[in-house]
Amino acid sequence: MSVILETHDLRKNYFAKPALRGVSLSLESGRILGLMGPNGSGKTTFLKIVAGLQKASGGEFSVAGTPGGHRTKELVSFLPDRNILFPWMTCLDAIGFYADFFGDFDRAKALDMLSFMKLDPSERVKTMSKGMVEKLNLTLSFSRRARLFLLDEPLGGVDPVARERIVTTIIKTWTEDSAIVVSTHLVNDVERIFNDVAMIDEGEIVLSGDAEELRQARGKSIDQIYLDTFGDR
Amino acid sequence: MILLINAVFAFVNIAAYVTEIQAIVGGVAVADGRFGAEAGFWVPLSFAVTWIANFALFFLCASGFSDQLLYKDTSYLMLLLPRRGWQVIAGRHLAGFVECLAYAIPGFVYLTVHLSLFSLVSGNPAIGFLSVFAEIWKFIFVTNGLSTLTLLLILVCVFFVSGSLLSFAAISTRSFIRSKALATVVSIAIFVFVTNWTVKVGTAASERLQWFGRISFQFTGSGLPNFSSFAGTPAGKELLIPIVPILVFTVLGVALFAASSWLWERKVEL
Repeated sequence: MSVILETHDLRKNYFAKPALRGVSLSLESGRILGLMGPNGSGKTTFLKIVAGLQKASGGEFSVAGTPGGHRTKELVSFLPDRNILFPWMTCLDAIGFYADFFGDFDRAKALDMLSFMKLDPSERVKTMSKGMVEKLNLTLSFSRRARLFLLDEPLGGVDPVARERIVTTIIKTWTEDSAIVVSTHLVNDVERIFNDVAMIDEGEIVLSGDAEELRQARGKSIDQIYLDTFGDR
Repeated sequence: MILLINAVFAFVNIAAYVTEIQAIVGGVAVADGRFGAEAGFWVPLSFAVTWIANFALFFLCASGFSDQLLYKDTSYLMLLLPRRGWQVIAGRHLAGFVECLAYAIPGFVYLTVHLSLFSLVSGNPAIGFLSVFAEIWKFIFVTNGLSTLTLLLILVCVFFVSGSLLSFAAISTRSFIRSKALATVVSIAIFVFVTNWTVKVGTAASERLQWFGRISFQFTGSGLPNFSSFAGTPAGKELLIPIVPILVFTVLGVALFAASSWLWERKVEL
């Protein structure tokens, strides 16, 4: 197994306010990391820095051995917590756009996933429900043969059926030579797929480790450990 | 959006043509040498809608729709692309240029149809619409082909240089100011300030150095009925183009494009 994501003392300040206070973690290939924490804990900031949407104020990170920067965008597939597609696009337009710009995009896989997600290829983004847009964005992100997948709240605001479909897709996308980071606070719905967990609070990792080891050591589910850690919020 | 805007252009212009043709067929226009009240409403309206919109769209397209690039959620998609800053920004300018052509070319065709109809009104309607229409295109692209080409090239330069200025103003303010409203006001102020002073100083320098380019348009022999009356001179017209502001704008455009690309990669955050 090789290290896919490595961060060392990653920091981010918004003017005087610190959002990340020295996050260091390592994620090996073939692993799914659950990044958990309450709202405003720094999860999205962490993901945005690794995806290349924000610049770290300090520290460093690498993806599959490539130092963080312009080149790592080729290795990272990021699913933000919002629709990033142009409203006029149809599903096929969006697939064409991704195929044009991302060299690792698998068009056949995208079309297959569209059918799995029960999305109409000719439907426009502007006429889709929130859940459908979420599924389309997930389809596009997961149709890349990226080394690192970053999913920011992929289950937020979607119904239980769509949620299950998304979780199934995450499992199907798993490969031995890539890694997935899922940020969420809906821990109960996805904790079964996590190999590793990292709980973040006020920009610092407060608990991390192998998910199964944590369950056994504490005799609780990850959801219960999450509640123990952040229950007083 | 392109289809919608062009549909609006088509509607107002076709409505204007109908009123113009009604006036010509009814003999009102030819007798008076001018159109009636109905055309008097639709023709100015079609001109205003087509050309005011084209003017605004020229700058919007030139900027590469910086709103989508920097402020809307689609900005995430743009910043996630594994491309260098200059590739993303140049790509948006080029896409904007193609979009601008999609508005300007139909607008120009509508204008030539209007000119043909005007010529029939003030000239001899027996010549026929198609002959006049063909004569106008020949006048623009054959008789004065080189001058037209020169003007078009200047317009293309203005498009890309103003786009570069607008992009720089938008990207630089987005890099350092979080508030969209404030950043927009500052970027417009930067654009107006830079443009205004470059034109003032450049024109003054051109006058001092007597450095002007000349573009001549021939009106004689166009074969158009009373066409010279539209041009305001019977023989031709010479346009004096100050060279210094064009050079300064070009250098500025290249420099600011490089600066925008650097800022896009190093400073823009979402």
